[in-house]
Amino acid sequence: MKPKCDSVREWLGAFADGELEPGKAERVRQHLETCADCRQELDQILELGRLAKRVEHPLLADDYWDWHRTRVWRGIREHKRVPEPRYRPMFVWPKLAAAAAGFVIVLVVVLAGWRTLLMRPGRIRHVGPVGEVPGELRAAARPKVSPRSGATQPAARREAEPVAGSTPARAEGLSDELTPAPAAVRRGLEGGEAGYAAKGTGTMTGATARLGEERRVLAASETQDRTVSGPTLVESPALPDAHALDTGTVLLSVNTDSNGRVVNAAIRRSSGSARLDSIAVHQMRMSRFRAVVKNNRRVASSFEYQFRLPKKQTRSVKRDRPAADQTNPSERQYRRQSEQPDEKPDRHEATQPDKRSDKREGKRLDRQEVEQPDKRSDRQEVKQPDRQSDKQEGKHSDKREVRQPDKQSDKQEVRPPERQSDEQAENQSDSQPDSQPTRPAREKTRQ
Amino acid sequence: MGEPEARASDVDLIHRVQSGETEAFDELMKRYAASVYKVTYSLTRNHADADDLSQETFIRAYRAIGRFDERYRFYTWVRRIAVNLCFNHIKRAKKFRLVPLPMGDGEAESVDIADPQPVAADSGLRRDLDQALAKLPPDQRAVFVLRVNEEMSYTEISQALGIPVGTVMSRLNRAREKLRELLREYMPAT
Repeated sequence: MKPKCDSVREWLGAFADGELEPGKAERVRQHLETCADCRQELDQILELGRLAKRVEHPLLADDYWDWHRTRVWRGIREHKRVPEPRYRPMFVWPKLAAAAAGFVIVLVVVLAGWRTLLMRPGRIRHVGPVGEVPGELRAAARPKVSPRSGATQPAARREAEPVAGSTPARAEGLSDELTPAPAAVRRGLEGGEAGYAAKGTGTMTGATARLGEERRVLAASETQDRTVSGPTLVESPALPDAHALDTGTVLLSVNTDSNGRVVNAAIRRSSGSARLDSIAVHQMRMSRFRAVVKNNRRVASSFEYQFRLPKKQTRSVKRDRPAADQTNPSERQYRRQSEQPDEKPDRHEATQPDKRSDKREGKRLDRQEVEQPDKRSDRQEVKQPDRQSDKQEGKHSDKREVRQPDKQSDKQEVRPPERQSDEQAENQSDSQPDSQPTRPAREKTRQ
Repeated sequence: MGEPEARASDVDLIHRVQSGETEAFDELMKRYAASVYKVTYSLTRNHADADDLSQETFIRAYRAIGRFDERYRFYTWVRRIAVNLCFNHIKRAKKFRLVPLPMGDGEAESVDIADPQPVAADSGLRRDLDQALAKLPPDQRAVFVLRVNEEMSYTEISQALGIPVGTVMSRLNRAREKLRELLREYMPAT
């Protein structure tokens, strides 16, 4: 092939089609006279056109074109009726779908934000006192303990949950088995005489608790980490007598180590009394909380703790107390307990806990970590009464020390099933909380 | 194949259609339906697609006839609509791999009327030519078909496809080169 052929071959197609400019066409014509290869290529181009025309179109029936026109008119009428129907769904539905999706997203965001706002840690929520809860609800909420086996019947929990008209917060106040946030209730139950509400900070979680009219229930979120248990006070020294006539509430910022021992306590909100603040800080620094368990490991924690110092009743004060006491039953029961430290030791006596008490707490924590980090070991102990009934007998008084007296359901939980007389007494006190003082209280009164 | 020699009357018919006389459009279809079908068939190499696209071509022409520019011939105008529709169809088919469905009982009407057999001296040639054209890129195939089957000038092709004349020439050369290679056995011996 001659070098000149390259440029000529680019024009051969146009030359064959008669589309080449006259000057170029003349040059091609001259080249073809001397170049056989280019002549052959021109022949192939012309033959290709002839082949393509031989296979041109299908053979159609005679009436095909009538049918074709009929279809066209039908299409024209359909286009007139519904302009652009073929493409309308393509443009309309995506817009509608996008609008619907946007609405749903906005709705979800608003609801989520609202819920987060409601459950924000530190938000205080008022909940009615325990006494306002219908009796049947409390009865249903109280775990049933079999007299023989002592096994807790979970049916009681299931029965209590769907009670109509009762708010979840009230149900939480009845039993720690009722709600998925038992730590909060335990916090309320074990708050002792101080009657506190704690709220978690950082990774700490909280919940709600209600112990009386004066006690504020703190709503905290459980959304951050459900593997973390709330701050539960397990040790607290006895209040000094100096605070007898002082009362107030101090908001403390508490740091604990991995064993739950308070390493630092600072005042976040003063009670207004420097002496009271000092007592609260001192008390808190001598206290110990249940270790925070996160991912089956004890971790240090920091949280806020509301320490309330109630007015300590002296005997003279008690005599002056009006017959119709308007305070909360749990407060009255607390007073009765605090007045009889010898017969029925309260949590103040746990200033120097004995080894048995430490052992017990250690066992509790171990069990919690291995089995159910957020469940109380108390319940587990009741569920295995045969092996530990003897131990429970010995522990009973200790457990009562850290129990809130007005929490009947909790009492039942930890009470050995053999003590039927106690259960009856509790039922009586449940029905007549004011008129039935405990036996030690009566003895004290006689003295 | 040249375009029908009825340009003057085409304009009259178009005016009548524009004035609301829809029967005049039926006459235009009688004149150019076969030509439009050949274009669509040449570009799609499929009767069902060619049938649908030729019908759609006239439907669109009817809807747009109010904007018809009398500087052009009706067939040139309607052929351009057909080519654009075929191009869009080819692109869509290439994207979604459209496969013709077998006709069911409900479509017996179209089977009875249109069961076309291509006019070909040799079925082997038709098959080979179909396969060779199918292997061409759509843009090269369109240029080749419009030039060889429709005998459109390079200028008309450039206008129909919206590309420069030089691009028409280069695409046509590449299409011919590939087809000669693919249909070597039908080419004259060296």
